[in-house]
Amino acid sequence: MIAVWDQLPQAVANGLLLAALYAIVALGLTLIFGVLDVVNFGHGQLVTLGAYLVYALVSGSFSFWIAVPVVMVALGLGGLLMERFTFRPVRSIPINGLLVSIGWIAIIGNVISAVWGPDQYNMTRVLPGSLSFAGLSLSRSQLLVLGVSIVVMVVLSLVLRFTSGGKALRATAQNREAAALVGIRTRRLDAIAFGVGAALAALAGGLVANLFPLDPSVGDSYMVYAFVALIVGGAGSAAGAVVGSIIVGLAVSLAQTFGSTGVASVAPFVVLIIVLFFRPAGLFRTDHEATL
Amino acid sequence: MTTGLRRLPPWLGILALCLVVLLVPDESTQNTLTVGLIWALWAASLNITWGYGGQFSMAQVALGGVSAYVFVILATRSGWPVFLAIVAGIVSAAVVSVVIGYMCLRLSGFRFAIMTLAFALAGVGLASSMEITGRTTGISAPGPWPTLRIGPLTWDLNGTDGGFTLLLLVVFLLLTGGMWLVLRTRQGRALLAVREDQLLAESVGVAARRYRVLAFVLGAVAAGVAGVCQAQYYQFIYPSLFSFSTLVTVIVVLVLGGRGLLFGPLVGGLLYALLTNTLHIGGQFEQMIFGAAIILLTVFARHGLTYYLSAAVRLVLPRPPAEPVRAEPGPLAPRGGGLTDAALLEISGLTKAFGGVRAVDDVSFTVGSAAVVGVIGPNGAGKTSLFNLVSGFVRPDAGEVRWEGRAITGLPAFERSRRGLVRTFQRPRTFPALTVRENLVIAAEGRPAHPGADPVEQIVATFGLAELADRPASALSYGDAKRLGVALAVATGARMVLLDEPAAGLNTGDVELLRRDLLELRKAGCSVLLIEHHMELVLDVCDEIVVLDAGRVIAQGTPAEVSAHPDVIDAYLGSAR
Repeated sequence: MIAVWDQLPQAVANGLLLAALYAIVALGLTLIFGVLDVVNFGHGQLVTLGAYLVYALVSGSFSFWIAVPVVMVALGLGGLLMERFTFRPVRSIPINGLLVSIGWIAIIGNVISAVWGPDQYNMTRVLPGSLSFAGLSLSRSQLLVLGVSIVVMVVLSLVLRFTSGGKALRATAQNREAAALVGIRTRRLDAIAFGVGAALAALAGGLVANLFPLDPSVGDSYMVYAFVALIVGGAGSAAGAVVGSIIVGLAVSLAQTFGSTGVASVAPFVVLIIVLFFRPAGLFRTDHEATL
Repeated sequence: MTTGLRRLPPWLGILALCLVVLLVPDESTQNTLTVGLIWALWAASLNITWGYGGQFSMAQVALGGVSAYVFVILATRSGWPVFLAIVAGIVSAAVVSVVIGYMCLRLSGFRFAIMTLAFALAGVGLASSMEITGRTTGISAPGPWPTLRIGPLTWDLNGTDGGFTLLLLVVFLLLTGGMWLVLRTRQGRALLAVREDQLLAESVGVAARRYRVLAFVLGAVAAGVAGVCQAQYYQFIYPSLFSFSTLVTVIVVLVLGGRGLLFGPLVGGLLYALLTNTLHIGGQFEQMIFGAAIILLTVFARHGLTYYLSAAVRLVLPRPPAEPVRAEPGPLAPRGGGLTDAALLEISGLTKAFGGVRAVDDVSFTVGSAAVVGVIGPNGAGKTSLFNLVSGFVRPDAGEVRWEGRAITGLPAFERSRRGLVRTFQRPRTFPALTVRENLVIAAEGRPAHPGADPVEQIVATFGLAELADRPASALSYGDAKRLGVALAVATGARMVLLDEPAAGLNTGDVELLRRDLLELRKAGCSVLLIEHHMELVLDVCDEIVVLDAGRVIAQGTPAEVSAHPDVIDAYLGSAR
């Protein structure tokens, strides 16, 4: 029992650091889902692609701090194009957006495999080493993730709340037709939301490259867990995505510490199944009366 | 005779396939066919749950995995006879699907998809960490199946001579034939109704949740069959055989072939196998091409190849014009009960709050048989919420609804509908992909058998839908769709219909038709509870009017009493009068 209590603070800290990474991915997904109603299964592949591109630039002797923004812009533009040419034509039927995103999984995933092969790559890390704090050991690169994640949340909520573009985005997410009627260019916002979402995936990828060895499936688990977080939180709300990420991060970390890797891979789904069983719309969404 | 001809192409195709299986012993042809048929089985499973049941399940492949593992473990470790182990495998996939199906019932669309994916990934994780499933390495299948002997005939089920391929083809045809039969039953039609519009299906008496689970379980049975065949073909199973990438391929196959079409999976599976086996592009590039194929198909050809093939056949062999069924507009004959003095519907103290807003606040009134009662009030007065409570789509916080003297407050919507209390919707709802007649057939299905004219044809005639009867409901104009909505409610044989703004958006002529229909309904002994803003209509046809404002009843009485009531004039009719 004593050993359990000794391990708990470290497990919680690890869980929160994991959550910070999931939150970046989940916020991107939320943005896309909220505005376009598209469940982008290809998001994990964008994370992986971001990680490999950052790795490639850093190995080409670019600074990590330059490589990440460059890749974010590149994938953001890619996201704009993906939206324009593949998601927009099918937007009247949401489940078809899901099909398109499954197509993108196959394309991006296999492009990565074709270019880089199945080998693992290790990027030269920025901010190596770790800090000790109140008996906890926290790696500096993970603290970087936490910092970046907080900045993303703050910037995103300020933009959504106070800028006219952010307000237009929220209006579109709530009621597309009404937003279009008051002169908001909803189609342009679709593309922007997708682009920003893709840029956030690239950011998460860059941070992943600074934490773990890269292989072609490195982004998959982030996508899946970010989805779980998104739905646990109640798809469509940014706060829900963050809270969902914390819950999933803690579930994974606690299961790893006190269970096994096998348990850890199942834990988030068990959490999801339990949450959805009791609250089908997720934690942060009050059930509206169905439109009859 | 053309009808027979139109059915010919798929059967000719199947016959050709049988001949190829039996007569072309070439190994690579057999291999292509085998692989194609296994994909066709997987896709058939997804087709049942998604194509016919309308639920995009991402657990199909994992459910097949359950069946494969159970089959292999029972046959190898527990020494069960092979055929018993196969049956046990398929049954366990079905059992697991019942559990998952019930847990996912309250979810739809992408939430359902992701919840099923979560179960699938959890299952793959479980199989990768358990001793009995051989962890990530996997386990060997029990080896060749025994030879089947029927009299003088022998059928080597493993057959290098195409025995296994033929078995797969027979299994696929059995599955497809089974589905064909199911679709011709009342249950099959209900399945399609739930796919098209779950709420409308419930409102006409279909136990939608039961059918959603049914679609999931039928799909799981097909997945179980596919899983066993896959295990037998590879002779070795491991978790990633049933993982996400397999699912992606199954989706490609079905989208390629055409979903919601019986032979879609077969066309998709064979084409996929043909392309992969002949092009030999291999690995990553093949996957990239199929990824691009999903996107292109979804954007440009979302119905799938089979749909376009059959459209081409239809072009060459057009459908003969249907024999017009003559039926006279006649009495609408609601179900038994007849005229009684007792109140049909009694509402007492009904209350529902959404957050802080009391949408319906302590509402009580009664409706007798063959009465037309209007519910009026300004927008947001709680009229539609009241309908939702009375029809069972929303549970009240307090109060009681009694129907024919019995409390029905806890009954689900479809049960109320079956007892003769049927609602319509403000925004017209139909089963869009089905024809007007099929819509009405589904609605009339719960109706007690009635001697005399076919009730569907009678309603088609009465509501003036004869010209439109064979058109898909999605092609109807707004006004026609609204009329179909009322016709659907009446077709159930309702003793009382709740009509939610039936006149909204109709032109004067259509309102006149509606007025006639309402009076006709009352004459036939059917009560009407009518939400309407069209005051002229309400004052004209209603025996009694209930006025709601801010969730409360502020007046009640005959049209004359209500229109003279000062509160009503103030809240609703406008004080200028």
